[in-house]
Amino acid sequence: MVSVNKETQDDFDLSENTISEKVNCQNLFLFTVFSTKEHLGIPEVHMAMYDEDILKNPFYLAIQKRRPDLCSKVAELHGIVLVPCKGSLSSNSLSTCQFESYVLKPLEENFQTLNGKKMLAKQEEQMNLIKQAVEMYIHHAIYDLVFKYVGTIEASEDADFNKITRSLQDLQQKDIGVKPEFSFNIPRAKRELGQLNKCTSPQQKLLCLRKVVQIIMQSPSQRVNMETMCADDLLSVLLYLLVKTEIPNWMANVSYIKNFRLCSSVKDELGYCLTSIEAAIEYIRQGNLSDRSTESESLCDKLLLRQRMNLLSQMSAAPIDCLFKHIASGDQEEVERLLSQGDSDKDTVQKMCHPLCYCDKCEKLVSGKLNDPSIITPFSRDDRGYTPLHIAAICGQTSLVDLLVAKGAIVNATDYHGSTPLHLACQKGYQNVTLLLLHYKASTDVQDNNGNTPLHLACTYGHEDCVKALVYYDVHSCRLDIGNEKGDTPLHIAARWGYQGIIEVLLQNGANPEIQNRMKETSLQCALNSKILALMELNYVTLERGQSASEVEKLLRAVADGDLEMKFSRICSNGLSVNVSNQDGLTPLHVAALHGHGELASLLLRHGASAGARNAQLAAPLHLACQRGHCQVVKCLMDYNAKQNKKDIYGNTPLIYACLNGHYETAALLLQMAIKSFDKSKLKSVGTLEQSTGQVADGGCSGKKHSSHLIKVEVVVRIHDSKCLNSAVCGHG
Amino acid sequence: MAAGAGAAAGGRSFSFKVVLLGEGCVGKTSLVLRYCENKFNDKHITTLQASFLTKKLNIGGKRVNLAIWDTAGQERFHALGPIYYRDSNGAILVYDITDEDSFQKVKNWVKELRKMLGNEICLCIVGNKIDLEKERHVSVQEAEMYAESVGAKHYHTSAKQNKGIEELFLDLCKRMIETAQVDERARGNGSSQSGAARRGVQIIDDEPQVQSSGGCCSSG
Repeated sequence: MVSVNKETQDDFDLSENTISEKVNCQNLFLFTVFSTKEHLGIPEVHMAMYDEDILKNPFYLAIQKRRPDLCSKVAELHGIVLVPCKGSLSSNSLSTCQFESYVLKPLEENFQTLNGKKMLAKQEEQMNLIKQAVEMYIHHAIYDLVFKYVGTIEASEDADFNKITRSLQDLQQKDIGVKPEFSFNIPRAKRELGQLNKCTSPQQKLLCLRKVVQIIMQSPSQRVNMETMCADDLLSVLLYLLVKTEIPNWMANVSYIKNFRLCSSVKDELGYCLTSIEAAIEYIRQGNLSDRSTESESLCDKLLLRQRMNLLSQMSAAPIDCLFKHIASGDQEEVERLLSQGDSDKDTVQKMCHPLCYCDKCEKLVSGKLNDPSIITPFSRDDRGYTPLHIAAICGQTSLVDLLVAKGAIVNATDYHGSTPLHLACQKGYQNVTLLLLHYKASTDVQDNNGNTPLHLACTYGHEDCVKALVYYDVHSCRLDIGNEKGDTPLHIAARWGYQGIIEVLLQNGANPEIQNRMKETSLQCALNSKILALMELNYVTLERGQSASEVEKLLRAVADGDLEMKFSRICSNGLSVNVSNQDGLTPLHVAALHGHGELASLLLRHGASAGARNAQLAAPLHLACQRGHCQVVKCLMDYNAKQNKKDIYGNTPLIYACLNGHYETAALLLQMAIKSFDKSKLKSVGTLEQSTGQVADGGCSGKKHSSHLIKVEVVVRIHDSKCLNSAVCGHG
Repeated sequence: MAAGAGAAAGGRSFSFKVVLLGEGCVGKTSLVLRYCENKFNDKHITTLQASFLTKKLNIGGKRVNLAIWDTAGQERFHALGPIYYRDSNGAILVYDITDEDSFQKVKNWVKELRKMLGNEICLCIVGNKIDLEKERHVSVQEAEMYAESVGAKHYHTSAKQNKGIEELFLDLCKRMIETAQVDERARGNGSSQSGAARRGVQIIDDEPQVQSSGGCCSSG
């Protein structure tokens, strides 16, 4: 048997002789197919997408110019031209090279060059190149379509993963176990990794990942000794990169590469890079990193360290850290005790000569108290500028927030990063603390040093419940469209990381998706995948009527839910009138009447809601209440002089509706009320009543099942008629 | 070709994936570095990529491409093992002869590998650092008996002194070739495109087969 190497040379000598100056195997060939479907004799050129323009490739130009015969032959044979990449052939060799050896024609199962050399399928290297070229070519063409679907399929996985990585933003390299000698290359690797979403085929994405891995392992300079990098080291660097690189669609990318990588082996170096990334993603998804970085733990670590340091200097732990530790663990009694130590103002005063004395002794007593680090107050700060309230917010200690605010803690205190306790509560996702702080009038507009409001943080970290708390607590004062230092609004952020629920909340409350950030992107352009985009467009279109419309709708929804106090207070605080109406002309009173919220109706009436308001069908609240038979509401409305004789657009009075729907009590009530007001309206009401009866009896209004009600109605009307007449007589008499 | 027997019909070329398992300081990276680059990790001037290494061999006319994958060995990454060793043909499990614990770890790996990959995978248990023979804590007899009981081969190596390493890899390759050939025969001459089939994507040539003589013409 011929030796393997001999075979290679005999079969196909491209790699050995003709293209001896080749640079890099990966970039050896552009891949060209001349299609036979050309018209006018000009071959149509297809090519694989390496990043070179084939129309400027010297080899390609040369073969076209010198050997047009070859070109047409290729088209005829369904052949392939291997075009060396620019720079892989020197220009003088172009004139001498044998073009035939670059042209492959199909021959049975293999290809043959035109000068007779056979190319076998087992020439793995060349075949792989061709396969990869074809793969890249096809993938480039269908990338947008395919990747869009993959993104949609993985949408929720991506959002979950993003939520985890966002919460890990304050992670340091040492927390993940990145050895200091490898941190040098991280910024460059991060930049390279940022190119991932610009790659348009699985192969290109893999090459990008490999480049990242190679960069990670580069030695900073020849003089510096670097350790051998094993899988553990690589994995920890990759973990760090995954958390810190702002790629919002990792799951889509991995799924795409794994499922659409057709020709390359899973066992090569690219496969290893992918596996390492997969392992890192899996590690993060399992939440292993999240466990390690809980705040209370780091607080305790810090405390421990401080204690050790203090042991050296024979001092006890700083009382502020002690307090913070108790806050973190939620030890209310201890916190109260520590804080009350500072309350002993009276003792000091008693020790002084007199309360206003400023002799040296008394001065010392007073100033000593102010400067004594062992006395802690709700205003004390640690080295990050955290007040006790910040710590309570970070640790989600609701009862301690209460306690501290009661002790006079400043709700909007900022730490050295410009964060208020509300920022921190939203970042950590404690809805109850968020609501409590809002209750204590925490400001939602404060921007930290990165320009982020609490809403930005709640969006970044994917805490939907906190977003809702912020938005719904006071829709009017919560500004949804503030940009941070990158110009991103909360909606930009939510769209980028793909948090569906948050996007809905923001859009429904009037966030504007057209605002551009510093990169001139609107939040629609930031949408992570087509699922998110569709969601955003859907919500946006329905709201294009304008923001105030949505406000009103929301108010009406609230009324429908019968949420008495909170929603009503919203009407007043939002500056909406109690008589606002939506597109259909419905006022809050209409809605309350429709849903039978008697108490709410009377509340609205007390606040000046008009009982005579008409909706688009000219129906007053009374019409709606009668329709549904809500006696209590009817009574309320009548108390406020609702006119019972008004006709709606169909010519029906409230009584007709009560009768139509068989609400006996309501009808009776209406009639009784009518009698009371008889003096004023004279016989007019009787007239309308008769009219109504006539209509009902005729079946003139398209009713449902009124035959059974008819008798009742007639009875009522008769009784009523006689009463009316009686009273009329009596009244006159 | 992706399959274990990565050979097209007629050609004799294999590509194998070998995973490297073992605790942090047993010297598994030194072992492969010594084998692939003939370097020992005393002082490197430049970084050495030790997480993925390849070696080309020619064994009796058969070309073998060996891809050696280092795996994350730290305890915290333990759960990620299966991601690394899926589709592998061989595993090298390294322990430090001066460290009893590292041998226990190897036992755990063996159990896991057999559970996940069955008997398809060729296992090598390697006692490294035999240059430190006088500090030995894992007895030769115990290790070899254990290896035999789980169907693995046992080797003694020293990356520092370059002992036993060539032998280890050569042996492993021969065993993997054997397994691959048995596999190939079992699958019917290995004519199917096993690599593609395994990943659920099969590209079928839809060109009509050339009719052999004795078709409709001869009968008519």
